[in-house]
Amino acid sequence: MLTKKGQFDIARKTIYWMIAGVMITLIVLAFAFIFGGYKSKLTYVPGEIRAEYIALRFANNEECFAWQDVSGIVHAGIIDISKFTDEQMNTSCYFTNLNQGYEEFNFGVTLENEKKSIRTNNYYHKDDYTLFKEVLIRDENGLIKKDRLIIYVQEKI
Amino acid sequence: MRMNKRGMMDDFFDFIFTAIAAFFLFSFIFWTLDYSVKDSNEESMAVLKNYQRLDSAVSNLRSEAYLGYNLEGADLDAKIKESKILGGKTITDCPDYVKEGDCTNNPVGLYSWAKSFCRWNEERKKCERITLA
Repeated sequence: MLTKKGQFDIARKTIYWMIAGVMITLIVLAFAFIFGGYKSKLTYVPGEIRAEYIALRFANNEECFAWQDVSGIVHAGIIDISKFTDEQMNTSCYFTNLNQGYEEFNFGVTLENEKKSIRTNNYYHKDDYTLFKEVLIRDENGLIKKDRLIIYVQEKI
Repeated sequence: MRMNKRGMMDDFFDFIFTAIAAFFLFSFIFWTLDYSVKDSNEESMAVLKNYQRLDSAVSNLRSEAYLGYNLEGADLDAKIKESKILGGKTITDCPDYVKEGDCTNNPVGLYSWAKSFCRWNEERKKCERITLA
């Protein structure tokens, strides 16, 4: 037969562990959230680095604007001005999904001295940052000039 | 009954102590992890900026070679390493200055160690490197 004090002790421990149980659960959940968040932060690659990698194609890939001579050699860093069109951009260089593409990287690309601009199909001038690339351009007459490629990056809308 | 009240107070303070300790532990863990991630991101961005500067410097030198500037005997490694960014534009050599004022004043300090300097060519509207014999 338990005394009144004994009964109260048992009840007290029950109440304590009910509250402590809630606290322990919260602590475990908080730990899980912290480590979950940490994992995603740890594996996150800054947008500027991803954009830089994507933008490398503009001046270095013949499917974008890099000049390819008659022998088939691609001259990385030299832009063929005849290729620098929206059509080239959207057919073989960089294209995002028509409906959901605004959630991906989109670019507005300008040749500073030539004052010529093109853009990807879901670029709406919401610039998150700008990249610069020193390039050469080859005009229709085969002349090579110095220019700067300004790449406006829209991460997502 | 008095014993029980004291016991309850003990439990209450244990509980408060646990909660406060947990709060500080979480704050410490969160701060440490967050700081290490921010730090590594900043380092990545610094590496990226340096890569962009070097890439632009190499492009500048390639441009010079294509455009007929004489790079023979030039220490290309030193030029690339010492290139600097001025107003978003990478300056590797005198021809990279596009304004007369910049060319004359040479704000990034090109050739501070050599017998060369930048001079604006009014006829060609270009900045040129002059090397003293």
